[in-house]
Amino acid sequence: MNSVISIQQLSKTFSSGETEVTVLHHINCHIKKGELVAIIGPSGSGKSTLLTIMAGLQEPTEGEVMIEEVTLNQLSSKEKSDLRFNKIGFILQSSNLVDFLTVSHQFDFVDKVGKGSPKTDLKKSLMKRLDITHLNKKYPAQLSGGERQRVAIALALYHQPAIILADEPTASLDGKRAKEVAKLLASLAHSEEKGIVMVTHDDRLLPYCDRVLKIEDGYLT
Amino acid sequence: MFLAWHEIKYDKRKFLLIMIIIALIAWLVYVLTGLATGLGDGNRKAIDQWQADGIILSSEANKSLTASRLDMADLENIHVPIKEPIGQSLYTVKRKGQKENSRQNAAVFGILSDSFLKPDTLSGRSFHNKNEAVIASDFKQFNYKLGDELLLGSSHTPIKVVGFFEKSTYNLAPVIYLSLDTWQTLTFNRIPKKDNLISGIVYQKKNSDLHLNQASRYDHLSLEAFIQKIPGYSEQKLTLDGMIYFLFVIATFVIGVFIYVITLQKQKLFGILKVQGIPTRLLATSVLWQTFLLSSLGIVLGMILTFITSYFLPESLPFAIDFKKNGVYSLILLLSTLIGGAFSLKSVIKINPLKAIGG
Repeated sequence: MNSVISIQQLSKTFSSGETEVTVLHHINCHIKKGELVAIIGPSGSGKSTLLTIMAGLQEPTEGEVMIEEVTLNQLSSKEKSDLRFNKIGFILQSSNLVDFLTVSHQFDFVDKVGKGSPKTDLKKSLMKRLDITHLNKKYPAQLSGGERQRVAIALALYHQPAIILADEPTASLDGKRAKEVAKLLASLAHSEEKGIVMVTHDDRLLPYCDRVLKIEDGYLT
Repeated sequence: MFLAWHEIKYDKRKFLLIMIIIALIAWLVYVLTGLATGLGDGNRKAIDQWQADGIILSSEANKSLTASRLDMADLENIHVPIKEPIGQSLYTVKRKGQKENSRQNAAVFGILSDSFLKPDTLSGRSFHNKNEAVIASDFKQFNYKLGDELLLGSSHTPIKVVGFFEKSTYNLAPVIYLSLDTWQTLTFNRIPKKDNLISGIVYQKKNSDLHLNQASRYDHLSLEAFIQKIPGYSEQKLTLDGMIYFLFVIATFVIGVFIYVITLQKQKLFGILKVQGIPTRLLATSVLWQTFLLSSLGIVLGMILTFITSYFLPESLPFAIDFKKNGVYSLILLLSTLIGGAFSLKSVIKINPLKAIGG
């Protein structure tokens, strides 16, 4: 089985006093290695909730999520944190870069957390591929929106995760830059055998995706 | 430490401000410590220089050497390897020919010429004859010289300065040593039959026990206990020490508030890092490292400022740098700031990564 993410009978209900709202109903889906999958749907449909459950940031009310062979529900919060660091790369709508680290130091920080030796060759090749080599000594505040997202993508790939979860990664970009990022994610999914899930509102990105999952009122259609 | 140090480098102005505040607190701590040490030394230096084990005073003296009165015959009641009679009075002193308003306070000790209490002279010689004295180098700041003739209190008998010895003070007054005979004449001038009186007996035990005959007539004190009873010594020490301890508490709260505010400003960043699987422990450690770095730099700066200050303080101000005590206070200050920094750890632990990404 090539699935990097398996979701079975996943439901999520939020309670507020006596009111209960179910935002996801019995979701079943699999994300395979080497595919870019888009999750689309109107605001409030449950897309981001599904993404955060995939990341182990919140618990499903029913059902289970498996990352490779590991069932998330059975992990402690520390184990989930370790799994996120080792298996999942994140690209977030707002920049997930550390304000006070230069582009180069952002990579060094990942090395420090991973306690591994610096992956100099990988860093160089990622920076070259994403065309950010010249930004090496710049701080996030000195980068344009597109540059920041390219650095975020390079960082998401740097610790060589099997999965990349992208939440509205093109929201802050113009149309041209947004398409470039989608094209890049598709290329990475195919060439690096990553399973990439991208939550997006932007229909223009869909042609670059291998599959599109649509959520409406919490149901996968 | 990686995150902590890079953030300090990135936002130098903000962290410099915090460091300066810590440095100012540290500076105040060291200056107060210097004053406490200086005042302490000023009260006790002469006693410390004796290198004795204890002192015998008369029982009704309320542990005050100045108020104590014994007789030379009392030496027979004290059984200890080395014992020395000592007379002590506080006098005002001026050089012969000077105006009355030029008088200084002086602590005058009368001792036997072969006493172990006799200080080594740095210049001149020791006293051999009546009406000769050796005086502490502290008098040099008032231009006292070898060969000067001193007038003590209301006495008209000049006392010749024959030597200087190292700086020495008792009860904040510079010290003069002269023969016991001279002291007795000066002190009991108007009571001729009382010239065998002394103030106390200083002893060295040399690993043997002290035995006293008629023990109820005497008050027997270790030198440390005796020093604690020097008038004003404990009160001054307690006041300055109290201020220093309050500064530790203030440092804890000041750094605590600063680090807490900075941590609140980083809640979103820490949340996003948690989303990416960065361990909470690492983020909490980073906060403590940052506190440690800022405090260490602030403390070093405070120390440098103290050294500079010490060069500009007037000679008459009792100020002395005690490296050992400053080292201990630096560690306490560092610990206080770390405790302050630790107030923020709960907020780091409680950061919800979902909120950081708007979930």
